Amino acid sequence: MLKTTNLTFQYPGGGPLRFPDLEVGTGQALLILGESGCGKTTLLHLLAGLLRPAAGEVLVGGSNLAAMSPAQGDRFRGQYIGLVYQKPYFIESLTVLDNLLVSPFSPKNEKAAEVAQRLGIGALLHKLPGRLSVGEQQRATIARAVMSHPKLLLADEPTSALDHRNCATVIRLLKEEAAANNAALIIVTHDDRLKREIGTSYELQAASREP
Amino acid sequence: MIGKIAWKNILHKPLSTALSVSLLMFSVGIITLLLLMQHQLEHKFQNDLRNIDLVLGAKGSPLQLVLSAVYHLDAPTGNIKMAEAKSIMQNPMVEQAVPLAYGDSYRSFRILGTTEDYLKKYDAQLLEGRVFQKSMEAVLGANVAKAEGLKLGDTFIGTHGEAEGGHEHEEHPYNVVGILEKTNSVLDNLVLTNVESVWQVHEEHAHEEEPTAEDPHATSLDFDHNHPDHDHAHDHDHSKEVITADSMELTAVLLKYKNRLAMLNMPRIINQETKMQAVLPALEINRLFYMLGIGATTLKLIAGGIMLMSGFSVFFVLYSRLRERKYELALLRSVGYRPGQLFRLLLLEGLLLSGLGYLLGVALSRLGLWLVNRQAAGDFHIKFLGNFIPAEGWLLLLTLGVGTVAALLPAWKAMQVNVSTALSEG
Repeated sequence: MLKTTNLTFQYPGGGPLRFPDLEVGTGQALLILGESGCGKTTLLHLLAGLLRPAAGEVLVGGSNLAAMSPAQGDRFRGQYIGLVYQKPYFIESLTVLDNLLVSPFSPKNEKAAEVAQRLGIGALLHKLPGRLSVGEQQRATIARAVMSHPKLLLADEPTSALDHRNCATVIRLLKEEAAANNAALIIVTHDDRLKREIGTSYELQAASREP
Repeated sequence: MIGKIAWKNILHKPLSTALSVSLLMFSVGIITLLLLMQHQLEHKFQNDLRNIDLVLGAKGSPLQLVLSAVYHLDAPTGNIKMAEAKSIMQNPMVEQAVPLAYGDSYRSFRILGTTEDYLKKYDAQLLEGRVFQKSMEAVLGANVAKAEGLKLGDTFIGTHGEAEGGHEHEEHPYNVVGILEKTNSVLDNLVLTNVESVWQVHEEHAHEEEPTAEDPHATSLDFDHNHPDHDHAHDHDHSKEVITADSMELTAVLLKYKNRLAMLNMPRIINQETKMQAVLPALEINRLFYMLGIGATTLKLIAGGIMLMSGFSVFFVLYSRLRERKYELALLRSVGYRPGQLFRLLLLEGLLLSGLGYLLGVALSRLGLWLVNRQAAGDFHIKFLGNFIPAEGWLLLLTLGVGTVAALLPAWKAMQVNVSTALSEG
């Protein structure tokens, strides 16, 4: 489902950042661990097409994200990639339900209710996201990420702000949702608690940044 | 969804939205009110002008003469001698001459002594009854009949002068013989009778007051001086029974000429050679609108200034919120919106703000019009209508234009948001 080759990123005014080749199949999960500043988020944004690599390929379902124009990338991401961020971002003026349906590629209401029910936020759909607890907010972002039935689910430090109980729940939900959508799941984190939850992990080394 | 986000966003910050919208509302309100009033005043003044080429009246302010004789908005400049007026009215170049005699009122409505020609000039149709034929018969304009609840056969008493509380001519009641259909002209607010009725009422009146009159013969002396061949009128000056037309006075005469040349030449001759003045009403009304226009232009400039400020406020509201909305914009990009759609989102918010301001401004202008009407209806018998006028369409385009221009830079900035940086902050 996801395959990267020779992925390199160039920060403006910095040295090139090389990433190891990755491959994750449909329904599989991969944990990418690493300390802060080692380029975890950069890697995730490259995989999501939010950043453009200096060299290399990001193949999602056979399409090379790296070769797409920004507008094509946005559309592709909207259709095939679900993102969960470190902080739960919302359109504050919209209700939780409208936030779930915010993507132009979202299906209609019934699916939102169904997904929200599955994630235990069914009763919160008509509240503003600002009124939810942190745990509820994170569930809502997971719900949004899977609304458009993605092939690839990417999560950036999804548990760093959560206590143990919520942490376990969020990871369980991410795994369940990835499985339900038959999507590849990639989580980047420095949270060692997750090692217990996801078998396949990869340690990203700060050393891979060249001087 | 873009539309929903834009709408929810401007509602989400009610204070800054209220600021921009209320600034727009006031500027649109003021401009619309001015446009409406100007449009309708001009239309009304042109409509009432009909084919009156020239107004003949006593010397004084030409504008006052036109306002009083054509529009019945001002006090008359004075009276003119029938004999003197006649020499003009019978001039071969004159196609039609309608005499007007006034000075009395019923409640706030002017009693106008004239001939049937005056009614024809305004294409007046009788709703019921007939046109006045004898003295003391009155035909009521539509608004008069409605406001005072008068019917055919009713009688009423005129009051001397234009203001209420003047001397009442109790011994000369008018008899209602006709009521006019609404004409949307000055006729609606007039009580019409023949010239003789007005004379008869005032003949009596003058007689009563004779002992206290300081110089009752002053006008007659002037008259004699100019037209010695008519001095027999003097003998009957105070006679109740005989009204000799030549000795009587008119307030004004509305003239229509056979050709333009005469119309342009006559005023000069009349003004130089008689004690009367002749005024081209179209010219005076243009002059009046020119003067009103200076005031209206100043107000429009002020309103334009407010409009400019409101444009800036829309800009500031959208631009200053960009920083806090960076995450939202990045989020929208990450769920599949293209940069062009974010541009549209911000533009739409500018349009919504300005459209809202326009709608409220138009509503405000109607409220203003209602207030003006409440005032003007009593004082001037003018009623402004709230009908949509084409200039409002242009104003809508202008307002939306201001909103669009104000949103352009914020919208462009929204497109430039670095999604990756925004989402990895924190």
